[in-house]
Amino acid sequence: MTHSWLRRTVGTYFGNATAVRDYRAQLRGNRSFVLWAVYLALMIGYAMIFYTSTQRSGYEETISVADLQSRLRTFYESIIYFLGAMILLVAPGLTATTIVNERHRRSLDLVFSAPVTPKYYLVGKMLSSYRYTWMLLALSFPVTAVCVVLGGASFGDVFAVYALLSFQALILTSVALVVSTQATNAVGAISLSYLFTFVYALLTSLLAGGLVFAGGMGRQVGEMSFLATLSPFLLPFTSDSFSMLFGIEVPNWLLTGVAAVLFCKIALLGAGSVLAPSGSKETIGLRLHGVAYTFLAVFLVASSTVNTASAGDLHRVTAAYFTWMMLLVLFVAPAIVCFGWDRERKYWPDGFVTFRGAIIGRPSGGFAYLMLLLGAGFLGAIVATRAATGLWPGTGVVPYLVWSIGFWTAIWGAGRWISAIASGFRTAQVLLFVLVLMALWLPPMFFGMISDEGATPGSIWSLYPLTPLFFDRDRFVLAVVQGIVLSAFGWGLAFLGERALKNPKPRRIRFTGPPPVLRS
Amino acid sequence: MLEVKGLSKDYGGLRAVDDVKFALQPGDVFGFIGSNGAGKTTTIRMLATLLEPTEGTASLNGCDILDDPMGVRRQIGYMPDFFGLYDDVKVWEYLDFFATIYSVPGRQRPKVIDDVLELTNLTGKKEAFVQTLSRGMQQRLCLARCLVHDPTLLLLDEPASGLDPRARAELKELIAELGRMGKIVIVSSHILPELAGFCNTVGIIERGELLAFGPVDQIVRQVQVARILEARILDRAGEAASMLCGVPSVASVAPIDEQKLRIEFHGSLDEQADLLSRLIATGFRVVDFRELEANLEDVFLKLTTGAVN
Repeated sequence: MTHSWLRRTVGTYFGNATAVRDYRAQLRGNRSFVLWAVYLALMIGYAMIFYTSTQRSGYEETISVADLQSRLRTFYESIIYFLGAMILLVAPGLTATTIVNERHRRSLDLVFSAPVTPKYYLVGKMLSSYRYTWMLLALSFPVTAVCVVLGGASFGDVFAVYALLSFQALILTSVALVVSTQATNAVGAISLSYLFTFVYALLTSLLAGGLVFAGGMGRQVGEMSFLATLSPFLLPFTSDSFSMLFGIEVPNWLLTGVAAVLFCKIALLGAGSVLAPSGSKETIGLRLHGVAYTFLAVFLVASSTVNTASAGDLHRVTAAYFTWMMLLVLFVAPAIVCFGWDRERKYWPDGFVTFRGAIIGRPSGGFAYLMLLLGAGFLGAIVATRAATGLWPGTGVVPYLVWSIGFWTAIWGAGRWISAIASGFRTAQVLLFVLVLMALWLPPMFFGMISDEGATPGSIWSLYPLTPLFFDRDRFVLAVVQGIVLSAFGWGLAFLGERALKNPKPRRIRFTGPPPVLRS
Repeated sequence: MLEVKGLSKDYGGLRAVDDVKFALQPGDVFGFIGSNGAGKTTTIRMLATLLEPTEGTASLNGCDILDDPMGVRRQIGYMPDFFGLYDDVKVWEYLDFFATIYSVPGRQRPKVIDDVLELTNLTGKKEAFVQTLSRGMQQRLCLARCLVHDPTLLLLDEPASGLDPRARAELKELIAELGRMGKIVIVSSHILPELAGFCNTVGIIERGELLAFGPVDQIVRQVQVARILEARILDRAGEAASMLCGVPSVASVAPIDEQKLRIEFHGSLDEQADLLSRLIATGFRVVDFRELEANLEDVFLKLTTGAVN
């Protein structure tokens, strides 16, 4: 059994038929070589312009060795920025169309009528795109090596930067692959992939900027969260950073590598789940990984910062992690709770609430799965607090747990009700996401206009669902009251949805044929 | 052996396939007949494990399409009604890709590719790019792809659509040869002459329901309750028609032209012989008297109403 598993795994990553076929097509003819030549010409041109400007600025004066070193460092940084931009442009572009094109060519049916698992196929697709990105990185190496020869950087720096760039490329490739499995056309897939890339670049740069330029919050130079290395534009400042784990200095590129591989794993499971039928290994794996990753994410983020809180604030800080971080689940909540008759059987309504559905990925498992994620996040925050401070956060977290249960019940109920009345699965998903976004975004603007007093007890802000999470002070009563109200609201909507499902209204079917002929 | 056990498929509120049951043995070439939208492709896609049935299941040599889809996939070759060919890939590379995903050992692959190319008469096109092949050749390449792993069941969905008469004849011969090789072949089509020649079993489907299933002659016998006779009488054909109408085993008589009569007949072969004797004995100059064989098209038209889902 182990031998067969090993042979299967090796076959998936080495000599994968999909990757081999794509690779043959990629390297066919002169197209690739012309592209590489253009890329190299651009890179060398860019490097020469920066080198010349660095050189010219020193003609008129005698410069110190330190100044020269600084200028060479600037030259090195400019090359790394170019590579970062290249990764952001190339990795999503190469991957976004891979699956969607196959779907349009209708070759997916041919592949999946063969004994091919979604994992094998997706890994092949990922390898072929990722290998091409890697080739572009490798081609740039002679130019980067010039920086080492001139003295702007060491080979250690270059190695760390290349490792980090390839991990970022892996993350972007994974995202584009998931988008490609979901998209209905190539233009949509490319647009959505670049939108995600833009958001990724923006968020990671803001995060990294905060971590790098905050001077490490009093810690020794070079020690910072590995999250700082996720930005492709701050790599010259973050590539040699490290994190302290159990008193050991661990280079951040290593942690980023682990995070990228884990991210890639869950992205592949997500993409595989889209391609596989209900109850598939991919879907079950995705659901279980989702719970484990939620625990890990909350635990890692909370444990790195919770020790700065005072003992009296521990419950509030702990609650802040599992409540705010869980809001990220809003991005995937529509896929968990919505259903529709217009898609494959796995998306059809299959009951009200079941636990089994949570694991095999059916709509009836929506509530149970959201509660599982919430439980994992809650546990992650509690364990992190205990691990970092040696103290339990106290019963003060319970009201916030009640609020969380209410909030996610409301999301679930809204999703079921909207799915029951919407025309299709995708419409329900979009509608739910937009409505939740509006419910969270619009009230602050409106309340800000009509009230100057801020979120004081008894003010209109008590109606805003996120007010208990402002955490400038304890809002136990508000959290409990809102939790109960939101729960009741969620269950009410869910029951309305059930009623709509049992008594469906006749729907008008849109006429999609040729226009009727009119008598003259 | 392929056993289809009550396969049904719903799309929302629409039942595309309804409780389809049949069984096929090795060597059977099964013609799946139905109008466009009757449920042929849906049934074939369920057998190819590409669609989950709403109810029912099917098993191929003990492997169930729901419980062991991978086991089923290893044994089937599926050729859809579209090519799904990759650009920028040579014919041998295309086959090599599918041979690899069907786990054909690396050492055997070149020989397997050569064999299937020979079988489909594409050996001369081994190094050609797939997009440069003619439609007929692309169709044969798709069939070659289905054969790289020596499947026991071939699912061919509208394999001859869009082919010229010569390519169609070649394909028919190839499918018949595959049947002789002991494979179960399911061929769907709505062009009846295409299937009549080489299928030993047929199924007629309409609005997702399998209306008839069995050997061609058996179905024809079942459906054709009355035999159709044609008689050519040199003169007084009208009088002969009047005389025949009085015979109890004759259901109806219709003149085809001035000399020919079409007789719907319920009697036995003895009674048929007596009828001819009586015509001659009455003095009618009969020059031709024969039974018209009912064909698949007659059966199809008789069974179906032309309704689609």
